[in-house]
Amino acid sequence: MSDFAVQTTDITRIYGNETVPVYALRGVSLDVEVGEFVSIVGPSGSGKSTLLHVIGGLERPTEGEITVGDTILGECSDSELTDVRLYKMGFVFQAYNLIPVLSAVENVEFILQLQGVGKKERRERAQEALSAFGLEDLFNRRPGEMSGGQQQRVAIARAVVSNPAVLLADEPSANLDSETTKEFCEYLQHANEERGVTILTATHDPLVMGYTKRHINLVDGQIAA
Amino acid sequence: MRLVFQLALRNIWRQRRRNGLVLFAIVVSVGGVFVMNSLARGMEQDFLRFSIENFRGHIKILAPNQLDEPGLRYSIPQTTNWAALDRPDIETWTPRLRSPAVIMSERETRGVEIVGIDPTRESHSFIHDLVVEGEGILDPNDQHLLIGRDLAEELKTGLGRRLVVLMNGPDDTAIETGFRILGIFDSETTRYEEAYVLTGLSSLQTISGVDGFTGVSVYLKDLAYVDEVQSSLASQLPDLDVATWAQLDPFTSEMHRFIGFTVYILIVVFLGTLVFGLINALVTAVLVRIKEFGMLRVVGMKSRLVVSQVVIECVIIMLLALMIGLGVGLLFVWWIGDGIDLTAFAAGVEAFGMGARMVPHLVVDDFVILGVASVILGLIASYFPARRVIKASILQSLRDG
Repeated sequence: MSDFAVQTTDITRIYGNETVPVYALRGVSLDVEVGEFVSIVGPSGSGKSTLLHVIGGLERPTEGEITVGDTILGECSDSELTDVRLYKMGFVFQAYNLIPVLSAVENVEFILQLQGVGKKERRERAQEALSAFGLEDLFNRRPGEMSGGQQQRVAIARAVVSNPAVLLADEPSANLDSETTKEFCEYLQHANEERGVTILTATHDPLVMGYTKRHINLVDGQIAA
Repeated sequence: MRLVFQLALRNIWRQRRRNGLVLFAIVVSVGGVFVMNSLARGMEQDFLRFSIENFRGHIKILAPNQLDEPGLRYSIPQTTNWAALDRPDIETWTPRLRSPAVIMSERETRGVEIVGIDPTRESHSFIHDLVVEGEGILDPNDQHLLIGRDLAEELKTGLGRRLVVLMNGPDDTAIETGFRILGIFDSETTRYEEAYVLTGLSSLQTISGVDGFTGVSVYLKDLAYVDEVQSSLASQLPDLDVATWAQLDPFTSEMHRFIGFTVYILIVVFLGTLVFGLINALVTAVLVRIKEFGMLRVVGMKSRLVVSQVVIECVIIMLLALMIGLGVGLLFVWWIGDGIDLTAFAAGVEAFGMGARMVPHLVVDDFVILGVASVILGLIASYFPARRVIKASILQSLRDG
């Protein structure tokens, strides 16, 4: 078992074509230890989201290697990458991205259901996860019936319910006010400290950065010194 | 799969206005096809019934040359052994003596066909359903005439009046006989009323000097036995002509076949047209949820499950619409159960070989074909939106949504 939750080696991601290449990432090498809470910071267009996407297996790097736990993503087929995302990763997005037709508890259960967890167990685990994020009164509310902050907490509960190796959060506070952001960050901290979830968050929000233990500064697709 | 089914159901309900409109369009199409098919099947049955009950039967045994020269010259001897007709697939059979004739009243003259019948054996011809003013032919020895209402009006005659019938005898000599009108019949079609005059079989045999019949109509328990029975009878009665109703009435046979084919054309045209509208509606429905599908893939839902969800949504809508459409169609068919009155176009439809009422007829196979076609249609229609879902990369889905 590796001590690193995530390792990237010389990651390069080029968009566009050969004549007009656009470098989103240029040789990014990064080690994130198990249990770390890391923020990837930098101005817009610096490659923060792209780095999270390649680590999350949502797109493949043009060059370089990524390891999540013991899994080398470059060796995985698309179907295997889907399994990696399902079993080893949790995602929190700026836009919450909950399933609108499912209630809060069903949204959290959804991941466990995809993993084939039995009905009773997944219901218990989903309720426990929601309760841990202060949502015990909102089990049966649908996303449309909740505030932005509540939806984002459901999204974290969904991301951590299956105890992933790493939680990737892409600009999670972009749609939240400062009070809600603070509350949200405390829940992220709770997930990190109480559940031992490794968290990588792309942000340019100083409030979020304040809660993380390490900052990785990206500039023009490269880690700044 | 249960998860996918659950999601599909909830998404259908979530977009209930859009899906309701799609559902309505399919219901109208399926119901419309069903009613049209039922009416087409009714026409098909009408063609068949008129052809068979018109003294033809499913199979007709004729004296040789009778087809080329209808009349009394060629006949089947009375002494013919009919053991070949003792088969379980034959419902009944009936002999007749028929001859072209000229009929004269005091005022008018018309060309008709005089038919000698044994009324006890006419349970399967149109004679069975005649409405008669006066008396019908009750006995093969009956010497009176039963004529149609239209003919009676054309001849300007009535019950109890006398008519003269002139026909060619078996030796080509003219036979002229006087008859009293015992009854005047009304039938489903004026063709019967104008074309036939009926008398007792034995009576006509005596008048004409023919000791036999011009033909025997054979009625089967099921139309499906026609070719087999015809072949068997032809080999057992080599001295006689044995023909099926379709051979004797090729026009009606072709119309019957054509209408059977029309049913499938209707299904293809209606549902084929519908598929384009359905694809358009479903593609739009999927495009507005493209981000959602991307998110499902992000959190670990396999592409095939995402596709399954789209397909299941389409198939559920199709099945639901199919059931409602068939229900609506059934209700409509039940409502017009006695048929649509075409009396205003009677001359036209009768010339076409149909009755004055268009009565719907249900065929189980049509239910099945419509059902299977609708499900296949649902699968085809879901293919394009499903392809849209998996064609886009996950990030593209998240961005474009």
